[in-house]
Amino acid sequence: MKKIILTTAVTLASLPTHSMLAIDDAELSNIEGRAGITIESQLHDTTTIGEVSYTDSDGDGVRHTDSAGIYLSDISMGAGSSKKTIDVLNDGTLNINISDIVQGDVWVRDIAMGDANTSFGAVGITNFNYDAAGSYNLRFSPFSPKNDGISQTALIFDIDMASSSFDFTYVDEAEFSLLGERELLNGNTISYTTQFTDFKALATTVYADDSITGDGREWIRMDLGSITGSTRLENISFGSVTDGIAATSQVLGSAGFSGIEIEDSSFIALSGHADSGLIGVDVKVAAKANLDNFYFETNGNRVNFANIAIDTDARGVNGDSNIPFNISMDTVNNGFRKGLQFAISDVSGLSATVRDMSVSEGAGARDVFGSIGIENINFNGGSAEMYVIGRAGSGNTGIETGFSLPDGTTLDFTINDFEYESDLPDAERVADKGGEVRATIEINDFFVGQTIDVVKLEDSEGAALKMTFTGMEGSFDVTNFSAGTRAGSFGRIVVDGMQLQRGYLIVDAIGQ
Amino acid sequence: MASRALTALLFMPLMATALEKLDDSSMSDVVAQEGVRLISEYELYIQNMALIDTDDGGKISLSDINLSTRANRRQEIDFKIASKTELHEGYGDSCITTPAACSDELGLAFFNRDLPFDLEVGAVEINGKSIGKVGITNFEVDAFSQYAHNAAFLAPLTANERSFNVTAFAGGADGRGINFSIYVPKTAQFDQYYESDGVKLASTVRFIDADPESTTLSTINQDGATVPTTIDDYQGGLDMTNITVDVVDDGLLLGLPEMEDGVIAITDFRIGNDDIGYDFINDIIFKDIDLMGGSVLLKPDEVAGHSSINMDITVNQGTGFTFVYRDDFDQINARISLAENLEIRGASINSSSENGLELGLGQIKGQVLIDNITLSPNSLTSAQRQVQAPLGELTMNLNIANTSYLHIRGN
Repeated sequence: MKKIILTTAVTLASLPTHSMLAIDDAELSNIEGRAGITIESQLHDTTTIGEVSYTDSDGDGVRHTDSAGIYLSDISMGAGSSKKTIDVLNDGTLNINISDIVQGDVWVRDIAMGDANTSFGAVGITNFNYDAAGSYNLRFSPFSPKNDGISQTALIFDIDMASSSFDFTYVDEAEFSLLGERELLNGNTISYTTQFTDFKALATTVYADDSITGDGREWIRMDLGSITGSTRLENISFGSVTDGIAATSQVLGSAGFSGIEIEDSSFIALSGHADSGLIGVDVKVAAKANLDNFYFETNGNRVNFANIAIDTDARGVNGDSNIPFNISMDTVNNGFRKGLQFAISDVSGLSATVRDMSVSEGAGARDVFGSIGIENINFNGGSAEMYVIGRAGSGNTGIETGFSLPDGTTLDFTINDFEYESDLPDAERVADKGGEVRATIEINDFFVGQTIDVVKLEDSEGAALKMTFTGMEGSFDVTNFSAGTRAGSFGRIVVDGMQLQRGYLIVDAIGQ
Repeated sequence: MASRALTALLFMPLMATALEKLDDSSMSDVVAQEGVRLISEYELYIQNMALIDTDDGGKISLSDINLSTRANRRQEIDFKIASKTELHEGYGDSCITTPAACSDELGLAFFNRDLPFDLEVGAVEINGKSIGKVGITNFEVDAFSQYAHNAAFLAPLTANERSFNVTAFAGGADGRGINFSIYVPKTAQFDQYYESDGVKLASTVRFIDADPESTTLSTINQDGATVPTTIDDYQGGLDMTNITVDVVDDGLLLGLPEMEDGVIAITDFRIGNDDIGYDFINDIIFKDIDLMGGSVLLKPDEVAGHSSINMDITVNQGTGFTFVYRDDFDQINARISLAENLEIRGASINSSSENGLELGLGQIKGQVLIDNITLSPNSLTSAQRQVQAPLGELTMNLNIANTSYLHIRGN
């Protein structure tokens, strides 16, 4: 308790006074009062925040009495400015538009889950370069979710990143030291530059909805709008920094995606657990979406995964069923395990297919391999468990993840070389061109767990991402394994008692 | 940890200049080489893997499977997206002298720089009855570099020429599909064994007719002459291209590889075990392996609920190899080749609860030519052996009815 009070006091004392000032005369003079209000604001110096935390006071969501949470500490935000235009429209909509954004570097020096001492590392978003053509638009607008004439207020986001960019850095084993007034970083890093091109996320609508479950719970529902344009993660690299000086990084490559078409019926909704005695978050997800392309690029050459179709419930006539699956999320701190715990349930008919796997020179013409799909994933009433906890495989910071599937999980696996009239997602198949290999797989006893760290390799090989497996096991029953149009199969393949008894995987750049 | 956070908080008002960010000069240190290297060690155990016939429950199974990297050795695989030109030049070859091998066509290239694995199967069973153990051990991608005395011998090889490489191009035989190239370097080597009742039939497989343990490789050539020698002077490796995978109405269509001058040397055939010692048998070498392509169509059963693996196979005319059977003193050589396409129709693999593993040979048609049959002492040079008078030649016109079969059962 003493520690909490002390920390809070120090945190408050640490906040620079200018970040708490009211709008001054100069800023007020920029407020225009004709058809709305325009505010131009500036933060002239770095703003610091001691800690932002989310706490789950029952610890493990079931019986533990310690509190648990997510803690973001030692946050700093560099100087910035923006222009806000506020209007009230004829239909009662309050429209807020934020533009001309300048933002200094943002660092979260300590991210912890479970308790405040179990650190995952630090994250920095730096070198912001907001395109002046971009804007954030926020509307509080009347909305009738059931189209029954009963309105409530919805929050609608239109985000236009135009051609903005920023650098992202994750630091494992992060240490921050001071040299005079300069703060110097030490640690092992994953970094890349995020470059948007004509990127727009439009019509994301947030509102309250009590119709998602029949138990009277109110949900915060977000209807996903559309995403156009592209995002590129440039020069994904592992490296290390000593006293603020970065060692030569080695680049794995770049990655990016473009264009997400989301059907109107798609949504994500949040609420508390159904059991009022438990603290935590339930998330419902229902999505039918098509991603135009995701790619990974080395030396200008790409492997593309285009026309990725995701349907969280592909059951029903033409896949029109849209029952969401559930993610139950709790922060846990049972003294040994500190972090986040998820239970995923109500998965029926979850499907994901990549229709056009290809290679290309840059964004040029694509040579297509074919398609791959995992369809009709069905937990058959069970729950998958997943956890992300703080536990370094090496050093002091890092994470351990684990994922298990419920026994009796079934899915259909397909690979085909069908041909299509065009690259468009709704293109017709060319008749009598290509065929399909398929199998139905039942999975039992499946678990995979690993610690994940960014580590320095021996022999001056630089830094890399290391996954040390704490376990991997499973049993698989493959039936209906067939190809082409024949009705029979090649046979049934059963794999029992697979266990990875030791193992690690290091992902590094080729370098020289 | 808590004290570190507290210290940072106390000093936070000083951070007017904020963090020394990774500035542009740091970012400019990023070098242009791109690609992903996967480094791993592992030990994977599978209790049982079975192919079960859905008609009558016949079962072929492998039990106690261990796949692992050897102690203190790690597997290294490099991945990049590369053009045929880049790949060709990566093997130390010139696109000027062999332009047909070069183009801008892109592939997903996996270079296995080190692959030190053992794969052992504790029991191969047919309907629950064991027929023995099998294993591949001591796999080395670059067995020669394990010995310091081979430095000069290996000097001409590029890194790619000392790697086990798989490249996947788009296309297949028609339209979409996959077109693989597989490169087994001259430097690769592994041991294999079949064990029954505690006695092993074992051998060492290489892809060059040279023993990496020999200390005279760089000074004495394969004919025994004392001249400076490198691995480039040896035929070897397997450079297989145009292996296609497509799906057609009848099933899975695999295009057989094309290759010139491959070598598989199965040496040190031996029987025994570590306790009683081994008796050594002779070497078998397949050299001058030329593959001209062909196809295998794998067809599932036609009847719903039933299962079988049915095959139509074509091996193209011109495919052939030189067979060498060699003891410590002498050897027999023979060139075996297809004078016309070898066609196999209706071959099948099935497991039956009554007959065990059923291999249907199908209808086989083709003409096999065996010529350049020679008997000679090992001391002869290759040039001397080539001008030797052959014993004669043999032509076999094959026409085997599709009623032939082989049944294999466990005791």
